[in-house]
Amino acid sequence: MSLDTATPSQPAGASQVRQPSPSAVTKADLARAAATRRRKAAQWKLVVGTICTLLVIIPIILANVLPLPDANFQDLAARRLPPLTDGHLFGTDQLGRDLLSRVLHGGQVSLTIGLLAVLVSGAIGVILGSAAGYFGGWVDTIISRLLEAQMSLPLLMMLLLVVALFGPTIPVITFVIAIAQWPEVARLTRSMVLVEREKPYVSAARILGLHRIQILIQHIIPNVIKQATLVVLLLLAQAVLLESALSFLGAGPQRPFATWGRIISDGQAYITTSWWMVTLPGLVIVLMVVGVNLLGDGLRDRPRRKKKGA
Amino acid sequence: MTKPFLAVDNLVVDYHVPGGTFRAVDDVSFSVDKGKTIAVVGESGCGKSTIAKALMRLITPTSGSITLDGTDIAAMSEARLRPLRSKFQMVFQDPYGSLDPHMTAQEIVAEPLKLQGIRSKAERHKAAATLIDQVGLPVKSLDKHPAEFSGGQRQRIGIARALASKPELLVCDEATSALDVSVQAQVLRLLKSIQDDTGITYVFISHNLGVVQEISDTVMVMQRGKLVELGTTEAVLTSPKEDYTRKLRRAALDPTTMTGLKPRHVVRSLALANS
Amino acid sequence: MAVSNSSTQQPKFTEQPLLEVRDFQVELITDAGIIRAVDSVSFSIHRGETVTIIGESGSGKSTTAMGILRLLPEDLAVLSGTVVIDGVDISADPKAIDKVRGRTLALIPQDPMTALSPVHSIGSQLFEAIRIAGAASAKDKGALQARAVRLLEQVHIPTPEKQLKKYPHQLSGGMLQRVLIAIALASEPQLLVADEPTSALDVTVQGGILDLLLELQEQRGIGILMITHDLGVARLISDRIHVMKDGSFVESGEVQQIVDHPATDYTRSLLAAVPVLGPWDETPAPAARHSAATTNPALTQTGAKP
Repeated sequence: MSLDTATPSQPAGASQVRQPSPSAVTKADLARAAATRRRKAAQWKLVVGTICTLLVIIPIILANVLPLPDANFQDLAARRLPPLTDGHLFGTDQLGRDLLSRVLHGGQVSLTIGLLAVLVSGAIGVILGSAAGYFGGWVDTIISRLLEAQMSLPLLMMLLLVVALFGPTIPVITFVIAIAQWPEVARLTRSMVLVEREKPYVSAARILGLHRIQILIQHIIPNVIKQATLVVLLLLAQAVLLESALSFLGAGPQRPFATWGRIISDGQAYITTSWWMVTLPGLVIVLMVVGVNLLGDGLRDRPRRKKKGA
Repeated sequence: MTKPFLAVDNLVVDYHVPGGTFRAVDDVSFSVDKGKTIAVVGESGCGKSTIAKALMRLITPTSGSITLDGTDIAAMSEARLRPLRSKFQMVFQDPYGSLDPHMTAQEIVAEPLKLQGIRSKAERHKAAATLIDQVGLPVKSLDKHPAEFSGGQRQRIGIARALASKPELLVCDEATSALDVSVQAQVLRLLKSIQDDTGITYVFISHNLGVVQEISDTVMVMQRGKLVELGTTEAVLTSPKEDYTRKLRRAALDPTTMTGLKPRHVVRSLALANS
Repeated sequence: MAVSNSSTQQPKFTEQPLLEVRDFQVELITDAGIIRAVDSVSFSIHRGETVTIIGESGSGKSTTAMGILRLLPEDLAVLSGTVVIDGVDISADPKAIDKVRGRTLALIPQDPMTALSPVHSIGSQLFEAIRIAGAASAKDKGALQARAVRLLEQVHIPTPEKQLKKYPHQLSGGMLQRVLIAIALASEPQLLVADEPTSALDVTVQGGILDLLLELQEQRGIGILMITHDLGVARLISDRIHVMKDGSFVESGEVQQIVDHPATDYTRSLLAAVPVLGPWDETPAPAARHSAATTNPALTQTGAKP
């Protein structure tokens, strides 16, 4: 007895239409499916990341319009007040300056430096990385060795050296952090370009007669830029941390700029007596770094919706 | 006797490998008349893809000449070659890698037009629409990205892009090998009708003898870089002379000519291990 | 004990089928929603017969084979329906597959170049298969070696002792596929599942592999489930064919019935799309024997093997 469906004597397309069988997918199956887990993971990362990042960034952007005391206004009668006293949400530091205001204004400086630094390092990294990946040969050799040499140097020592040589101004600090970060972007870009370079659409562009630079700019870079940008976003957090480290060590932008690292450094002496002077700025840094990283992960893991059928 | 449109003489291509050189194409000569199709047939490693790359000057041949409509392009500098590139174009094997994923179909097809100096965007759009229609795709698909098309549709876009330069020679490097059998038939029909309409010359690279029979006038059989047999399609496929060609022919399984149940004799002679 | 089975004889369907599939369904939970890759298919395979599922890309043929073998990720695929392998119902109890997979049932995967571990020698991978099959213990190196050599001989690999020491990257695609078949044979399976075993190989090599599969079937009476998109391969190797489209069988029947008298438009269009080569002059021409290829003089008569 044949168990086969649709035997030759019943050609499909005859008047009888097979009833679709019921689906066997249960709610439990859906819940434990990999696709569901991925989507949910990306979703909560995006949500939590966005909330944390905005919690930090929005007050910083609005720092100048919020009803806060001036960040440099010293009130020696109100020194080292704990949080939530006398209208000081974060308390005051050893000179009576409102801590929240200092953190927010300091954040403006730290974030600006961080953003500028990643933009510069992103640009340098993508350009050098794609040149190394696409042209190969001695271009690749020079850039790769430069990259490796820099990555093998102890980062903080190198940065302190540069700052000592050229002075702790904002442009120098921005530049120095950018220099610290370009190798990572360049390495990733180089790998991606190496992969894209072998694909037939690049050969097709060569057959059309495009110059190599044209192919790099018009075809290869647009296809790697999205992933490179994601890495640059994740580097923003690292840039802010680097800036804080430099300021903490005293090599950051000098007064009157109060950056996060400086605030923490100033509060070091009082770490046991006035814990909020170190802890609260530190928590703000943590919140921002975690938020940006989660946001970056969520953007990367977002499931792509494929549209088919022309 | 008219001169052939494409004449390849004593083509040699060497690759540098650790430990010396590897000769991928070893003294190969063939020619094609205008408006005709030559098929290059062989198995992996025979050098047919290398010949395609050499014809397109993606690589520079080690020696030999490639005379296209009277001009030898084999050793030309890229600067002198560039203005001539529109005369010869290629359709690739991989429908998924041969189109730039971040461009729309319109941009992909119009790119050669831009290079030819058609400055007006409206004109380029019109020309792209004509080309996309010529390959059997609806004009509204011009705004879509490659990811939204099927394999056969992408191959058509690749053909439209190749035709945009108004080439006189088109090299199809396994252009139908990655497609389903039914889609393959459609694409072959399209290529044939384009040749009927425009008199374009084809070099058709394939390992599939059935496809070769459909589309080509002459066939050359390659093995390990050497030319094994060259002749008209009928001669090579119906009365092959060389042992290797006969082996290839025997290995081509045609469902309509087999008789009996599980006819093992069809493949028995291929049984001894091929190292 | 080999059961010699003439290839022109129809297998008898009196015994219990090796593989019985009833209303088998595979649903995939993807980012784009639930996709029904295999929509309630039913078929059976008996000893000594080859059943082929033929279809184009996206038809669900490979998914059917992988689903039957329970090789689909559990967090992606939801299986339903009944699958009985040599009397063992593996659909009811998901753990039951472990008893039959690699024993009664073996897989010949699609791409031989990537199906073997690149960092282990051919020998060590064969030994592992033999050990798992219980044909020799890990301690008995002599027995392992002897059995491995036997297996390589059965798949006609020349100088088997030397090949055991080699690594996958040193062998050609055709040789690797033979090694994979040898690994599959280690457990003396009753049913081979061959998932596009020749798609990644050159045509001349493909012929050799198909001949080997036919020979193994003749000698041992094993059943074969063949998955392919190639009508020529299907016509050569099958007893029965199921034509698959969009997850279900659109036509099923004896191989000659399907190829010579297709009943559905889809099958007809598939056959029509295969370029016809037609007959050719098969008599060898003694005068024009140039050898650009190595030929064995003993092969001049079709079908004669030394």
